[in-house]
Formats: sequence, structure tokens, C-alpha cells
Amino acid sequence: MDSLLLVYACYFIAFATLIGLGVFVEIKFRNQVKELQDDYD
Amino acid sequence: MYKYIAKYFLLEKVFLFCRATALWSLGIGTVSFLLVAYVCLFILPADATQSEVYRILFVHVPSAIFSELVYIFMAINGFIYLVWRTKISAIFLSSAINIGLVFTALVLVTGALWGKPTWGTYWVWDARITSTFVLLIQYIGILALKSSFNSKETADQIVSIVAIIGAINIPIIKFSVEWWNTLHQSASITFSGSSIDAEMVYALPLMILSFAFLAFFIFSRNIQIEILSRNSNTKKVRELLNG
Repeated sequence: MDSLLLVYACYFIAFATLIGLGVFVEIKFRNQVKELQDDYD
Repeated sequence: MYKYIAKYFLLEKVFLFCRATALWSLGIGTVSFLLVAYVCLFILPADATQSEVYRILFVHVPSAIFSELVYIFMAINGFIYLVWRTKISAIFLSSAINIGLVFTALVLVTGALWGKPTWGTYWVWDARITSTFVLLIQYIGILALKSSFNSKETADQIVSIVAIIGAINIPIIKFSVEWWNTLHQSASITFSGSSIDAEMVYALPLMILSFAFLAFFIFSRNIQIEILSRNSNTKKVRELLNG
């Protein structure tokens, strides 16, 4: 495999993984806040 | 001393601090990652022996550093929780697990992709790689353990104990390249200097910093989730959400 392709793949995997986990926890957090606010209402 | 430190780690204060800094951290982390990645991929010169492949190290090394630092952080918080029973330590420990897991997975994947063109194989069972793989199993185990108990308090105690015992693997990972004959090379940057050329090495701390900002965003949101789920019926949480 082309070595430059491997390099790009690594950067993409690192960025996508961290942002992916970030998006996951953000959605989880917002859902939790919404649920609690609905409970209080 | 303990009381002095503890007053800065009240749940409300930590929650508000996380709320104020989380999105800033995400923004700074994203922009800095993209800028530093551009520098690493297009500005830095190719290496004389490894050619382009060495650029992988700018994501591999920060992932490796954080995979170990996060575990040390978890073990320290587990110890503090067991000794002083501070709720916030258990929250810090729980909030760091998935971050450590992701960094450990990243270090193994990027290392494998670097290994293929450099060593001729994606994987070898040498001491450094095997001990890092064990760390990945530890993170998965702790994450599974955390959600295996009905009582949060029991889960915190068990997870703390396991995190402390598992910390024995950190010096094994660190010194594996010195204690055993490994395919993995020894540290390139030590207190006595760096074997990486000055023209290239400056990008490494910048990438570490951008990883730190992204990790902090995830960490702070995890903390908020933990605080809300542990205190969902209290007046304080109601005030925090409305405030």
C-alpha cells in the first residue's frame, strides 16, 4: 500500500475517533439534560 | 491542605467550570489539530530513512502518552476515592475511562499502520506492543465493570481497586523496551535530548496540546453526565440546569 495513504489514514482515524467520541458524549449529555428538564416540568 | 484543595472541587463548581470551558476546548482542539496536521503532513520535510511514514508518529506518540497518563490519572483518583471517599474523585475516574480506551486503541492502530511499511508487519507480540494491548483490555474491563453494578458506590469502590492494581502495567509499558529485547525502539525524546531533528520535533508538543484540548472536551462532558446521573433528584442539579 502507498505509504502516504497510510499516513493520511492515520490522521483521519485519529481525528474521526476523537471527534466521533466527542459527538457521542455531546448527544448523550444533551439528551440527559432534556430528560431531566422534562422530569422537572 | 485537604480542605483547601477540596473547596475547589465541589460538584457545582466542577459542573459550572466544565460547562463554561467544554465547547471552547472542542473549538480550540479541532482548529489546532487541523492546523498542526497540515504542518505535519505538508510542511515538515520527509525523513531521510523512513521517508513519509514517520509522519504517523505525530499522532502515534501523543496517543501513547495520553493512553498512559489517563490511566495514571484514573489510578490516582481511585486511590484518593478509597482513602478520602471524595465523590468527585470517583466521577473523575469514571469520566476518564472511555478517553483512555480510545487513545489506547489509537496507539495500537496507528502503530500497526506504521509497522507495516517500517517493520514489514502490522503486529508482533513484543513486550511494548503486548503490554499496550493488555492496557486496552484493562480499559475495556474497567468500562464493563463500571456498568456491572446496581449500586454506584460499589462500582466506584471496585473500579478504584482494579484501576490501582492495574497501574502496575504502566511502568511495564514504559520500561519494556529497556527490560526486554523488543522490535519497538526505545524512547526518541529523553531528558538528555531528542534523536528527532529540531526541524521536525516542534510539531510534536503542538499535536500533544491539540489532543489534550479534544480530550478535555470529552472529559468535561463525561463529568457533567456523571454529576447529573448521580444527583438527578437533588435541588442542586435542578438549579444547575436552570442556571
